[in-house]
Amino acid sequence: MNLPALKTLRPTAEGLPASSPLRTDRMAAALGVALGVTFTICFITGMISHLVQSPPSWFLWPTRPVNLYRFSQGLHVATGMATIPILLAKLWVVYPKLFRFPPATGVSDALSRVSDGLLVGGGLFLVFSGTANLARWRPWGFGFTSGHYWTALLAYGALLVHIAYRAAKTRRELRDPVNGLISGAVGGLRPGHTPEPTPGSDDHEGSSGAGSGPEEADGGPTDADDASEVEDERVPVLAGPGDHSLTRRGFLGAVGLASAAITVTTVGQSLPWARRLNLLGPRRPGVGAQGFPVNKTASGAGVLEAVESDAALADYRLTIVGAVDEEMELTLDDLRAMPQFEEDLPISCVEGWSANARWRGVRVKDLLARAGAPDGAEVTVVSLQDPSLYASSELNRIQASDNKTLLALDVNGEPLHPDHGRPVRLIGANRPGVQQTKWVTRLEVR
Amino acid sequence: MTSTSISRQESGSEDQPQEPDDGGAGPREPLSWPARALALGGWGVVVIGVLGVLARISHFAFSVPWREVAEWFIFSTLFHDLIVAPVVTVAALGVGRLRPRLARAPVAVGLIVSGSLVAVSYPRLRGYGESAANPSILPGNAARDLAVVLAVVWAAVIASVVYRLVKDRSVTT
Repeated sequence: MNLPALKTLRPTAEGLPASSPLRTDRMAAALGVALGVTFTICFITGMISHLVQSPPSWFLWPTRPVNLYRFSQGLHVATGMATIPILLAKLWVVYPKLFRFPPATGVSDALSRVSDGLLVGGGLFLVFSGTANLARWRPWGFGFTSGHYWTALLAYGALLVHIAYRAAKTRRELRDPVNGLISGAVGGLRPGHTPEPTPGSDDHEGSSGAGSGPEEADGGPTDADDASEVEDERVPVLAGPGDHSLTRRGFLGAVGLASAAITVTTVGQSLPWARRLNLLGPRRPGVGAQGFPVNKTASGAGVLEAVESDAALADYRLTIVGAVDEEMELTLDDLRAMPQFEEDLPISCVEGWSANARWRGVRVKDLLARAGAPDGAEVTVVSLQDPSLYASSELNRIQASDNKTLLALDVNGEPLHPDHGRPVRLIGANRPGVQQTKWVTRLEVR
Repeated sequence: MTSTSISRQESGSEDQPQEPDDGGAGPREPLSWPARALALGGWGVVVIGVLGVLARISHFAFSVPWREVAEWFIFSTLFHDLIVAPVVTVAALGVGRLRPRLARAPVAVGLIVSGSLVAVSYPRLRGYGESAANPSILPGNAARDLAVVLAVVWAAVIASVVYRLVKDRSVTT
């Protein structure tokens, strides 16, 4: 690029000149719709996960379908990762508009830009923190859950503002009868197709003057065959028409392909049938003690000594306290003497991975009945582990009375491994893994 | 991308009057009432987020330090604006000069897909979260797994280039 070109590369009220014909409003609109969908899926599933883990009084999470949370959280993580190429593509397309001068044309415009700043910063931090957290990398120095949650509110609120300002234009861009992406005019994205400008449309198809100044001065070869191709192929491409680079349809396809590639190579950490393709997912559902992963080990929870030896297990007691007719203290032999039930239930981690296992143990409802708990009782399940956010969990009245809610003693035909909660762990249907409390020592009934 | 072929195309259209674009220059038309309601609702959600970050309302046992959250917002944005976007632009410029020309589109697709896969794999690749006491965290060989996936991607790119070249030759002869 020579100096005269640089002189024309100055920001205007529209931003910098669009240096690539892929950077059209229609492309931004198409990617924006995709992002609107993925952000909404992530927001809804994220809020579900939050409500399940910190339920307000009005929220009663059911126990069926058994795999609902597994699906919801697997969808959250898979959609978040698939969003990465779409978000980066969208930001790349609108990048020149970052350099608008003056930065805002009025109060409403300034507010819109502040909101867009929150959306960009928040969106980027959400996908970064989410992806890093899957690999248990947390360089931001504050709690992931609360940081991700409040960032999601900031970013999604900003997205709603963005939609309010852009919906009408987006609709116009995509429904353009000649060039729109939705209206069957996908041919407008085809190499060799020469779309006609629509009267009154603010579309600036490849012939836009937005980038003409500096590009014209760029210099370079002027092969005759290129010139003929330019006439024939006015549809923008990554590096220029006529040189066989990406069309806009190709660019959208590449972004979709990138999202699909991420999904195919990671979703096996959530979907059992896709496990063999799980090359890039940070967790492997089949790897770990007794055939499935662990987040918190017995040693990490500070309970190894209390659950490792036979002598320690002989000292184990499960206590049932609170709103019961008779507070109880049960040994492991007492528990094994009670009716045992088997359930096939997944560990569904908030980090998206999930793994099936066959659990065997005592129904919580049987323990509550034995202690004389009232109908509709709720229970706090307390662990032996060091005090932490996850050292206890709650069973609502549906969960506490569910046949599938067990205090498990065995998994996959063996006594629980210390890392899986030996000697007793909670396992219930449709619950996040962090609520499947391990090393259970007490049931507090109310 | 500052491509020469674009410039010729665009210079050829300079005589066409251009409609001003309001795409990035903020709203130039008045918002409809539903849009105003949506914007107001959006700002309401933002305010809840701000109050949460400032620990004025709490949904968690621990609050977040607002300065660090703000820093990470800014850091994320600057990392994209100063590093990611320029790198992508330079990469695209390089693809735009690639020969044979028929290789450009498949290579561009390959780079977009590969870049995305590397971005997703980066935390696992660096192994920051690994734990000697817990081998079920980040199991397997991250570098090898990524190499296998990228090999498949670039095998497809090469196959596509070869196919395009052969097809082009058969058309021209």
